[in-house]
Amino acid sequence: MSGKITLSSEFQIFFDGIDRQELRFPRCDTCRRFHWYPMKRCPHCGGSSLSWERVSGDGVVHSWTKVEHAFDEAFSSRVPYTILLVSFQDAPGVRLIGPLLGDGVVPECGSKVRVEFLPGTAGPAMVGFKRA
Amino acid sequence: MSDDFAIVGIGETQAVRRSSKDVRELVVDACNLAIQDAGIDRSDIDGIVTDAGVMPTSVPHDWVAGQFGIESAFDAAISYGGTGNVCAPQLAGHALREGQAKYVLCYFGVDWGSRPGGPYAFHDLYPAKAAFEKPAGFNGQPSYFALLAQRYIFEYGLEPEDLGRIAVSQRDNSILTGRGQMMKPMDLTDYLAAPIASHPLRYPDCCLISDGAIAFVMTTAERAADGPKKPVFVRGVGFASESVTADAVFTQKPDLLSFPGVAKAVSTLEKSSGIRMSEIDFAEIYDCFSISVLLQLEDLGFCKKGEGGGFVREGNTLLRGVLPVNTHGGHLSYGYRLAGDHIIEAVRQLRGEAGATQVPNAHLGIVTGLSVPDYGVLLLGN
Repeated sequence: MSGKITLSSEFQIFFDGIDRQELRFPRCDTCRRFHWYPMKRCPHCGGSSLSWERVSGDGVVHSWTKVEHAFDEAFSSRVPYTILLVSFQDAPGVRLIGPLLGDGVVPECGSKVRVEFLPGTAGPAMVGFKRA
Repeated sequence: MSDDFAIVGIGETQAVRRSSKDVRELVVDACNLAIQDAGIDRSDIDGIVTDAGVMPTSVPHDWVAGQFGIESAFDAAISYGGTGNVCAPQLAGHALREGQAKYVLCYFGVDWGSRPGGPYAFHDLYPAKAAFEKPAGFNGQPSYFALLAQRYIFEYGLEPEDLGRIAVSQRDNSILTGRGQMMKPMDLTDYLAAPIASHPLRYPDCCLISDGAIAFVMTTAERAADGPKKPVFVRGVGFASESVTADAVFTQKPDLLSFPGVAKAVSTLEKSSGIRMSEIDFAEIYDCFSISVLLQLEDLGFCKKGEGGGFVREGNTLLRGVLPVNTHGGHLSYGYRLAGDHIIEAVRQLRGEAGATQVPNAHLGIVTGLSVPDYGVLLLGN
């Protein structure tokens, strides 16, 4: 997987935001609901006018897993590592996957985390999370 | 749908980690066994049904038709993987009832044991996974289902032994068949000592990776009566899906702890068959992971949400329990042909051919197929 990632056009704005250290998610101008992953139209109402709204980056752990087996060869030197699934109060309906950063103490479901921006290496820049 | 068509022939190659044969040859072997078991000639086959995702891109219908000299009068495919296999009889039923076909062949084979990338490569289809998940190291089904299990621990509580009992009883069943891919005895102590793949799932919580194929032949009840084997009737098929993409389903579904489509598939099946889930004698439940079995026991209505662990702890799912589950060892221990193993086993149970794993007085059984966001339930009876 270490090769270049081909991004669907509707994904690009997210990564442009990350480059500027801004976390943005698509929100429908018509029904005002967020959706994730990015779609061509609002999946809730079919609206075609979407805005990428900036959120605070304060999140809550919805679930997590500590990966011990390297399912992906590119990560074989990094196991074990922890992945968090994080929801955002200011973007209901969006959950983001990202690695746990910091001291390695796993935050339980329901605990608060904060987004951290990581520079891209092989692929685009990405985000991780630190315990808040 | 009552008893107007039946499965009359079954075939499988033994599931192995790496076969010396390629997947097309494995499919040919399984089809030959099924045709022979049905007591028909290959020229009698005039319909083909399969899943619509995996087979069309690896062992396509036209190749099988060409190999077997099949003049296809009916040809159809549905969903992908497990749900596809479980719901393929619904397509066959249309053709058989309308007289479009006389004998319909369903087949499924995989070479994920020997193909580079194995089952993980399949998910490269999904652009959002490639963009937002793989770069973070979130890749591979064990990690997806681990998220569900971890959330379950938070919402309801779950001891390692609760999942362990599922894996252990299925290993026992696999050993009893004498044909399972995993035949090494495993008790709860062995389970707890097994390495973690992705917390909280251990290796024995994950399905095997297999090379192998299955096939079965369906025909009308009238023709089935002339066959050499006891017909196993298709009493109903329930298919349902939900409006969530396959790359978002493991992370974005509002309630991660109920699988999409299950409730709707069950209600469709119960309505069309007049048979309720509480009446069935055994269940072959799609077990990509132990946690998938636990969640489906709840989603299918055999117990309430949060009570799956207790339901298993009480022994209900054992061979001599009230609802024997995965009597052949399932995908965790018998083989991983995406619900194909389960269909073959259900037919054996209903013919009374299951040997050491035979459920006494088995008259009705279900097979489930989980291919998120699709779900299928097949109800078979004798």
